[in-house]
Amino acid sequence: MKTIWFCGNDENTLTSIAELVGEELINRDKNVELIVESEIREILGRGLKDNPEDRSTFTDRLGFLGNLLHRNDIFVLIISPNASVEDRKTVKQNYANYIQINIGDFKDLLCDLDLSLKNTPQENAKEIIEYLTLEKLIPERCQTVYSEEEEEEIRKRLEDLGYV
Amino acid sequence: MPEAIKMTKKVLIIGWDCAPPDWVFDKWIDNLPTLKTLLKKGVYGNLKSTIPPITVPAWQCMLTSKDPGQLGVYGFRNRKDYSYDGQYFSNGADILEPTVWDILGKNNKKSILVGVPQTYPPKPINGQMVTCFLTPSIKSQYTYPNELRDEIEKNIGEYIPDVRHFRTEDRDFILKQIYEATKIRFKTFRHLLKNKEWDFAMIVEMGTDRIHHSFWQFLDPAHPKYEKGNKYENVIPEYYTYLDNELSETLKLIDLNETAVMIVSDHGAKAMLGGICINEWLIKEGLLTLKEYPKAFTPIEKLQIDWAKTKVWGAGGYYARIFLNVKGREPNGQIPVSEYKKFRAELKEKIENIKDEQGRKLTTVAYIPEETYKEVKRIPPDLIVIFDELRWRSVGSIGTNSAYTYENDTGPDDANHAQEGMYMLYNPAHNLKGKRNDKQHLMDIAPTVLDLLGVEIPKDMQGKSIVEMLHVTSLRG
Repeated sequence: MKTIWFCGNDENTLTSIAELVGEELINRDKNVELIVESEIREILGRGLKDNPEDRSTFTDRLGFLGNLLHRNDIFVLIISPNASVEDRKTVKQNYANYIQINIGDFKDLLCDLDLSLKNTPQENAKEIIEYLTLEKLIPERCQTVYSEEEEEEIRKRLEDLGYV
Repeated sequence: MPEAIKMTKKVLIIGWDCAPPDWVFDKWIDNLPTLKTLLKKGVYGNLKSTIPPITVPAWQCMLTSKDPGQLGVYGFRNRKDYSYDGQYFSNGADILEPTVWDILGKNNKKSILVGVPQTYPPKPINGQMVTCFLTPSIKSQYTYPNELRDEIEKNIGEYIPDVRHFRTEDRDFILKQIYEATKIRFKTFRHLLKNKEWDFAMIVEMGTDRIHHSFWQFLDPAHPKYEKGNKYENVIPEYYTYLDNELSETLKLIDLNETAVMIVSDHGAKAMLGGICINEWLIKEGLLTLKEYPKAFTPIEKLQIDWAKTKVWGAGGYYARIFLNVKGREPNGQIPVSEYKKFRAELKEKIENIKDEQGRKLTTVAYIPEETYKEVKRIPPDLIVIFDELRWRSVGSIGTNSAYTYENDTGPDDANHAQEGMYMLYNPAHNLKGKRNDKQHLMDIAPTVLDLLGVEIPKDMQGKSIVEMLHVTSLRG
């Protein structure tokens, strides 16, 4: 499992892509938690102000939470457009299993996979899945698309044809 | 290279599954006038297939320019895990690498696909798709977009994904079905060519493969059962003449001044001399133990294997898939991981030394996936065996007490596949005057299509554009 940070300037775009990635991970029998900053700030950021020090604390809490879930075999998808590069760098150092996906013009050295906004969310999600597959973080998909009845029909046909 | 030589407005591919170059080009060409006309202005020859040379994965290797290991598809049946019975039928959802139509779609070019193997279940494309013979039935969703199905049923009639009831000795019945399926497939294709926008269009006809497997013994003097003057002797060449006519009707709908045309096959065909009963051989070698030997010829899946006394088992088909029972990998593994590579190398040598029943040497190769492919995704067999250059098939069933059989365990089968398929490329921008070139690989097809349509070829494609290669060759004289 990994904590995947989706970085970019538009939270909605990042969330759309992360949701698609999450769906595919679930299809591959993985546990997934999607953490969107704007949705959890009220709880996780309670008591924090909008200043650099508190923003660092908030990012550290996200990293801690991601690591906690990761230890329990959960892929964590984090959308936090406001986390600074320094704070994310600290998270990466403190908590292993950090992956960063940059989308659009967002650039920094922590990036593991750089994606274009010219692609559709589906195409970007597909690239992320391919990246995770290539890194052997998820198995390549073996999709049984046939119902039992259909599988029997195909089996019989391929046997008759001598293929199997 | 001058852009004018590369660029065409459209590309049309007609796929004839299993079409053998030695027969099509060298024996039947005079009865194939449309192909002959194209061929005189084009380039043609043998097209080397994949290991294994089989419909799945060969067509998708052709259209992604990736090898079977990169696709993670090693045949129709693949292991989904390391259990003894965990196999599934590979399908279009397994193809995660971009196909030529995916790449064209990103470049705003539209495609029409009919019957291209391993396109079921249909995926969204920039264009129209009718899926392949792996479609369970027309009750399944077999088109993209969905409503195309209604359009076909309304304008064409009932689509036939594949020949039904192939396992019969009633050859006339099989033949009738093959013609019916082919007729409706080309009718559907032409309907789409006429009524939809397209830059790339491709149809794959499976009737060629079906007719070879059913009628090869009546055609080929090299087949042990061949009898000169038999009533089915001309069935296969006549079918090819019929296909040539379908090609002619199709070409009437396109402008040959602006459309490149390719005729391709995924592998060839040759006479099948017999079958190696791979599991019988493994039993004799002491590598496979059954709890009870069957009284009749029985598929290995239906037998009780004593896994504690088994190190290897195999599967049948046009080639053999060999699986090792490895400690910590399979549920009751017997080969220690530390001995795996040595064991496999020794087994490879033994298999390659299997002789025929008269003690003659066979030209057999047992391929090690990691050494054969650029990458190895999903779970490959431990060895992929091609017996005697495909003159012998692999038989998985057990019950004859012999490592040899001359009857297939799953029905009539006169032909095996051959490693070389065929291709013909007609490029309106470059008259190649009927040049024969036997050096191409089927992974060259996808980059050729992209090149012809002026789309950049991804660097990770294994193949090279035939157009580009021919230009370089002609410059070298």
